[in-house]
Amino acid sequence: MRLRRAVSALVLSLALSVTVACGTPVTVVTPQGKIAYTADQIATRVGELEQAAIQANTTKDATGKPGIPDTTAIPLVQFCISAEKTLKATPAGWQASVTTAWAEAKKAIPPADAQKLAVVIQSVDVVLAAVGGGL
Amino acid sequence: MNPLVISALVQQVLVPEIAAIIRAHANATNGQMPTDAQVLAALGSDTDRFIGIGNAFLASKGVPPSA
Repeated sequence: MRLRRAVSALVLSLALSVTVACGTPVTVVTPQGKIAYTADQIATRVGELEQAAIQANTTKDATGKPGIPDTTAIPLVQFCISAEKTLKATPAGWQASVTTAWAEAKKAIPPADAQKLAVVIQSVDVVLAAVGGGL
Repeated sequence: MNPLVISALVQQVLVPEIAAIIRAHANATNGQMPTDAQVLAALGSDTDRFIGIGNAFLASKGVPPSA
């Protein structure tokens, strides 16, 4: 099961890398469209991180404890909202602020919680790295 | 690692995962590549949706919406 997860993460990473590295689809021709396409790729990965954090927080284990505590989930969701707003408002100029905010948000995640969210954290890292804002 | 194990991994894990990714993309795009207008609209609607989901979660925790 752990191996399957690891391979899934690898495949996801490769798929994301290829998707972003290959650039925008040929049907997107204007500079604004290309910028929006890249920003939407980041917005989607950040949204997946947000959904994973919410799901982990709302899912309780046998003892009634959430998968990740509020102290981890709330700052992560606040980062995601802030990143989404930046991506929407400045699709051509999000890199510095989102990358810096992501570095800070990632540092604040306790290792045990980071392990539970490893796949989505990795996908945000991969997509940011692929567009030059990587860590 | 035993070649048989690698072969089994490729058949049982890698191929289905890649097929699922390709199928999901084809379903999501209906087999079509997006146009500029669709990409611009998607950025607006995707960010709005995730902002809404995030703020609803914060509200459920008694946290004010993010500025």
